[in-house]
Amino acid sequence: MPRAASHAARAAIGEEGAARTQRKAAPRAKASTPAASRDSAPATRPAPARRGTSRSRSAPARRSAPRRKPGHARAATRAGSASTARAARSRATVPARRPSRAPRRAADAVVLRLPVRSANGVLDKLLRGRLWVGLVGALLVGIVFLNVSLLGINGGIAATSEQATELRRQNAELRLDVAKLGASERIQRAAEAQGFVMPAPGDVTYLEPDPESDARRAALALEKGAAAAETAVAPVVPEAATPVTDEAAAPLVPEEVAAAPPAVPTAEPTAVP
Amino acid sequence: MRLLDRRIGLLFAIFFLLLLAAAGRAAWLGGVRAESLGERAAAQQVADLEVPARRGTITDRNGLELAVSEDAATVFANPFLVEDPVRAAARLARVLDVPEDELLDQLSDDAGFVYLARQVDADMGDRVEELGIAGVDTVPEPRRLYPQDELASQLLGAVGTDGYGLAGLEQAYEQSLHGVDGRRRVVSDALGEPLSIVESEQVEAGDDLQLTIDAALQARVESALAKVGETYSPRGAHAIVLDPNTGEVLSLANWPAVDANEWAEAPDGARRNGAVSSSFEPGSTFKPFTVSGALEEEVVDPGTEFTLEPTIKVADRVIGEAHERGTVELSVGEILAQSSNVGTVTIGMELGEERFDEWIRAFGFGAPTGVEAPGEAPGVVPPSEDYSGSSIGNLPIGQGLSVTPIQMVQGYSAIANEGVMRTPYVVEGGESEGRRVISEETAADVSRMLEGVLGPGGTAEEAQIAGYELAGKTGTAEKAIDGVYSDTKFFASFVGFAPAEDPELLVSVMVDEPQGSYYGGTVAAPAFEEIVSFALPYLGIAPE
Repeated sequence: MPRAASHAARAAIGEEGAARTQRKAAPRAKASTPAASRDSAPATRPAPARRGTSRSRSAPARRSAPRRKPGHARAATRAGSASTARAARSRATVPARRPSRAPRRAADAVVLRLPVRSANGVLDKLLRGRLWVGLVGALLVGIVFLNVSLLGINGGIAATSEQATELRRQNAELRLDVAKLGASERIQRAAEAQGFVMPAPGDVTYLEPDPESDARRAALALEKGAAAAETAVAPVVPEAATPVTDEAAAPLVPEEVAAAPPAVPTAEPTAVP
Repeated sequence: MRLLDRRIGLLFAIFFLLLLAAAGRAAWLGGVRAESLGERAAAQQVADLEVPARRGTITDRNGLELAVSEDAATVFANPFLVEDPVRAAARLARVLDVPEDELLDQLSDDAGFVYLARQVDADMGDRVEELGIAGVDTVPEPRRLYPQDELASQLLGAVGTDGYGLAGLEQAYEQSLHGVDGRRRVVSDALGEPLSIVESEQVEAGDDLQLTIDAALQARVESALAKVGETYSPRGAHAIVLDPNTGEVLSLANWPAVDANEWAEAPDGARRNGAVSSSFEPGSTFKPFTVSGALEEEVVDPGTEFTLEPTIKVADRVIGEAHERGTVELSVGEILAQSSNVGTVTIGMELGEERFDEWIRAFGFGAPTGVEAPGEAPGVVPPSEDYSGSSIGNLPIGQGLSVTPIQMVQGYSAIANEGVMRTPYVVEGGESEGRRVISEETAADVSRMLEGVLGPGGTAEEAQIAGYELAGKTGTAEKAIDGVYSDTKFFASFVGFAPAEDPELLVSVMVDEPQGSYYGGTVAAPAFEEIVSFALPYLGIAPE
């Protein structure tokens, strides 16, 4: 009887629902002998069950049909093998009163648990498929990748920090050099070495800016400069003289223009250290 | 079958025992020894480092850096971990430039921590790291450097090895210059390579400090003081250059000079910023304040003439002139120009004790000026109720009271700035509202009188600069030693401004105990002339 029940249940649950049924029934199936389960397994064990663990193979055998509840049938239904489940129910030894209650419960379940069923079905498909193995694998690889990336970033931060410290140090050294080079005494010594001298206060000439007269003087200076330049463009060449053939030898700017003082005086001191 | 079961059972038992042993070991390590192992792991892999804040830079008015910070390395050791101290000392001596026996002493010390070298060059620290001596390590530490060496060193002060300001502006502005130190947690791998660096407390760099000091002018002023030092071998000398219109201190120098990078090696007296912390009896340079008070109170006017005997007796004291003379008739202006003691005491007595006391306090004597430099002395001005019978014979000529150089330039700034006195300041942005002390008219009168000091017959007629009118006052004060005025120790000084008509520079030179000559006109006035000769064209101040 147990063996028949086992076969019936296995058939009812089908290959997809086997594992689920085993987990629920296993604690109660201690009375079943291992021999029975082993004997029954080759005859009815579906292909997916063989891929499972030894526990999953033996567990259905420990189940006893009378203990199976309509819920198991629902599991079979969820597995998409309703006709097989009905056949199993008809073969199993079931108390007489149960068939009368089963339709009402099924109806309730259909009404109340339709969304849950569909969700569970999707979940079951996901879990029983090979996809989740790849998914978990990808997750693990991702975690490892994240950690390695984190370590890499931290290492990069550390290296950048060290580089920043080194650059800061170099910057401070350069600033120190600039400050030393900017010392007025050093500059003065360097200037004196090149022949510059510090003027006495009385030797310094200050030019007073005067917007009106400065502009007029500047205009006059420009006029004079332009006139001088015009005369310089056509130099008077003595007839007896040999014409200048080498253009480079001719002065581009007349000397008097080149030597002329700046047209606009500056308001700043002419000589400051 | 039974044998197989037994084997499986045995295998199971073995694995179970192994599992139990592993669980027990884990419980032992994770429970009983958790604390010590955690500490060891943290010590090996986790380091909580203090990140010192970059100390702010001190610059002159033109941005030239006077004090900067750079990263240095401090080398330390745990002598217990040094396996071969002799060899380690020999190797370190070559890198650190420290005597080998000195290092050996430190490495043989019965201590868990010794400094081998503090704040050495970072490159040197790197070379120590490369030696890889167990028990010897380095830690980065900032180091304060003064690129201009001796320039304004007493004003700038110094920073200790722990990074805190010990003197001068470094001390006064410690809080803003120092910044906020941070903390950094570094987790390293087994090879010591950092895996993560987390700033647990953010570091905040110190604020920079810009001074009103002009480095080029400061260098010239220090050079002038060095010449005085070389010529007269005084105990000390101080000079201040101030813009009387704003109170900006353009230069503040002390002699003897101190290399700020070798601060610890300098003698105590030399490290003092005497220009703000030394008090002295000013002598004749104080007379303009007596005259100013008398003019303001209309006790005298610039043309008032006095018939002056060779000496004057006040209570039990007889006051004479620096140079013997007969009875003369001098105006107020001539009294100042010739620095007549008898004449000034006469004016002071006309003014009276109460009003004299009020006027010298109005010029800021007897209280700190408030300049930012720390350690400022208030000077000593006795209250009028404590005057003895002869006090009014001493005080008007600058005896019986003490002032600081910075107080003198502050008081003169009122005369040079049309009667409005400015508080001197050395840090940019420290300008304060001026305070009118005397009327514009009185200031102009006293300025004209002070021009006479540098004119023919004045006490400093040699001090001349072509193209410029100068005004000033010499001072030659006998120093009081144990309550008695010495006839061998003097304080020579000169305070003046230029151009006299529209002053833009106010310069004071004080020389303590010059040897050889001791007159202010001989010792201090030439330094004043040298400073002003440079400063006028340098600052672009045109002649009148």
